[in-house]
Amino acid sequence: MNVTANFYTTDSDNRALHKNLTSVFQADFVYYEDSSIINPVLRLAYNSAIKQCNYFYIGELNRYYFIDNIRFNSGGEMYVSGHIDALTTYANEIGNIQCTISRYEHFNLSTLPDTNVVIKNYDIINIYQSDKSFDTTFGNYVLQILGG
Amino acid sequence: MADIMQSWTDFLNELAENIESVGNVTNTLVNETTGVQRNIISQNYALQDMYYQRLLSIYQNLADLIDHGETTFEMASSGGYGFYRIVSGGDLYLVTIQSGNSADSVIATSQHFTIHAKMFRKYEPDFSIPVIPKYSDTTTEVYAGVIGNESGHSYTIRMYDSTGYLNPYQANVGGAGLSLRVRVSKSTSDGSIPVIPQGSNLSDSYYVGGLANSNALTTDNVNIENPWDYYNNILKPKLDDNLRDSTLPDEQKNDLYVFPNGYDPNPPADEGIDDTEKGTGENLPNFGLKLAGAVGFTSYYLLSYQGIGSMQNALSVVTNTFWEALGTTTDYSQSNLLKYVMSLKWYPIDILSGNQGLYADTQTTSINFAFNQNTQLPIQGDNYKLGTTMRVYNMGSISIPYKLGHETFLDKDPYTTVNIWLPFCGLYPLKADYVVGNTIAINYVIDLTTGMCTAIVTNDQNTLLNVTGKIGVDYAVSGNDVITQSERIAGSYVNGAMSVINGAISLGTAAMSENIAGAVSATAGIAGSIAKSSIDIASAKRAVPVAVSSGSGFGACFAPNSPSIIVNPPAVKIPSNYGHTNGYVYNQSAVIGSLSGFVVCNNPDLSNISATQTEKNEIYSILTSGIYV
Repeated sequence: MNVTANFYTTDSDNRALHKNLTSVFQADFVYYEDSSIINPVLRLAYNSAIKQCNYFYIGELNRYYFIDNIRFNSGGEMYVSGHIDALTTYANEIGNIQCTISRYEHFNLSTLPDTNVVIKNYDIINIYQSDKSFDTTFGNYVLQILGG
Repeated sequence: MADIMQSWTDFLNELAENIESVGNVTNTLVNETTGVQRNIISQNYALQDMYYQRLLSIYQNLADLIDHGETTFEMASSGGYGFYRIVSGGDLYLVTIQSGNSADSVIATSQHFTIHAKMFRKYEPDFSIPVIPKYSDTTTEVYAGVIGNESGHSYTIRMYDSTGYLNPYQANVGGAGLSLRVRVSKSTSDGSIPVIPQGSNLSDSYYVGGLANSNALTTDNVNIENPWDYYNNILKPKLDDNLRDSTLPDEQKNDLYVFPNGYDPNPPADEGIDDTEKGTGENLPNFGLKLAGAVGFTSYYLLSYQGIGSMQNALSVVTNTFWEALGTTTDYSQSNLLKYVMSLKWYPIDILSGNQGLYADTQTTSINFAFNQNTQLPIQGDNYKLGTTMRVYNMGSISIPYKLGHETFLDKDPYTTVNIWLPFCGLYPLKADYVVGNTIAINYVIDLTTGMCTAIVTNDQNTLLNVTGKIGVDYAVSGNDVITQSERIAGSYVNGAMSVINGAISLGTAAMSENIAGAVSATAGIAGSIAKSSIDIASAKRAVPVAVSSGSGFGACFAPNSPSIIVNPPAVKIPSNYGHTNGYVYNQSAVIGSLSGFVVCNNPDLSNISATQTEKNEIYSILTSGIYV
């Protein structure tokens, strides 16, 4: 059974919800041994453009995959191993999730303790002095008298 | 009077009931009438407003008394330079004097007088009695003051005006019962208007007050709706004008805290407390206590160096009459005088500037020993008789900036530690949360009776610290006998010298030789030791270096003499890409798709995603470790 896959180049981080994809080529393939929806292996005709690709999409499965490995044989075929990119595959659903955001890029240090901040064991002493002082140079004498 | 006392009792009780609910600023109130003392802890405008409202109510109650004259006294002329009879008796706490002929601007010799006596206690929050202000109007009511009525005695009232000498009027009543002589005359030395003190002698002359213009303290020019207005515009200027403090008969004054300073008649609306709010430094409490403290059986004098030295000179020239007045006829030695000296303390502060009380400090040229008018020792220099024993000093405020320019957890405990150095009290930890990013005010309350001080540290919202220390340095001045006195003074020298020597050793200063000399001179001879004491004490004190030490009193002078806050912040460096690679702690609910950049989710709910379990596990793992949206 021939199925079509679209091969891409992406420079996005694996943790990006939406990937930047550059289409390279489209090709038919057959599933090779031990393929799964999580880790498929595609057998298809050799295409020199494959060396530019690190990502593919299988329309039949409606899933995106990272290319883990590419193997070749002497018969002009190549085997492309992939791993599910669940994040991008379900990007729309994930984007609609409302949850507690524990950390966020566009914020700042706040009064909430951040254990990821590296605090150096370095002794800093800042002294802030009042502009008023006691007069130990002269002062005043006070006499207490019985009566008055 | 019962109503007044009840008002104050209710006032104090009401305040006491609110101790727990209103805050952290500790004040002590003493009911001057009953002697009941209560500690009041206050914090916010609500309490101050309550103070104000209650005070206003009391003032209004007091004001009611004005319109209800208690007694009318009639003083009839016997013609010309004659005598006037006070028809009825009774204590006159305060009288108003009115010309019988209101059309006359100057009291004529033949004029009849009517003295209206009224209970009049409105204007003194401590129940003391107002006196006649200078230049009171002769044609309108003025307020005279205390007139004693001891049987068999007569009293002289002298009245003045600004126009010239008035022919003296004398009103005298012979026989038993009340005897009051009223003399109208004009003479004044300093323009002050004293009242007749209780227990006055017939032979003494006391000046009651003046007659003159519209500046008189009347109901018309006092806004009783606002006690602060009254205090600031009427009472305080009067005190500043060196008018004599008035005194109730049989009254034993106690320190009275009337109300906290810093009252804002237009406090900001209470919008609730957000725990993220920080102080701005704009509302730091002034912390001026209103202390109406007289000093009971003792008096306090602020003495200059010259004043101390002149005490010895004065002792050598006092007359036999002086000693007789003290009840001593056989022993005229100087030690008798020292019986009346209770203490001599040195304070490292300008004593006069700390008087926020109702009684002014008054400049004096003599020290009055015992309770006798005749036992006054003349002293030289710039000396003052102190009106209050509790002094309040603002020792400044300190602003502590945030470490990163804005408030972060790094400014909190335990990341940042804060200590405050309070001279004469010591080094104390403060909670960083209340200090960093705040402006801290430091006030000292000094009790001249004990030499103790209380340092009160506050920020905009709270009292952070309240500690005590010893600031007054006792100098040995004993009245027991010459030998004991000299030994104590000599001991004082040795101790003082040792202190300085120790300080000098630590510093390696050249000040040591001067103080060793002082110590030696202190032990030489007994006869001149009292006089020497003032000089050597002064010289020893001046030689105090600024070494760092701790403790209280004299020893504390070696330590830094400015309140300081010592902050130990953490040393951190926040990488420029920290937010992109780690994210800042956010802890807020949001829709993931509405954000951008690095996001870490906390326990996301994936129930609406139609993925395989393996995929969901993978999504959960990624979301909780961080994704880029």
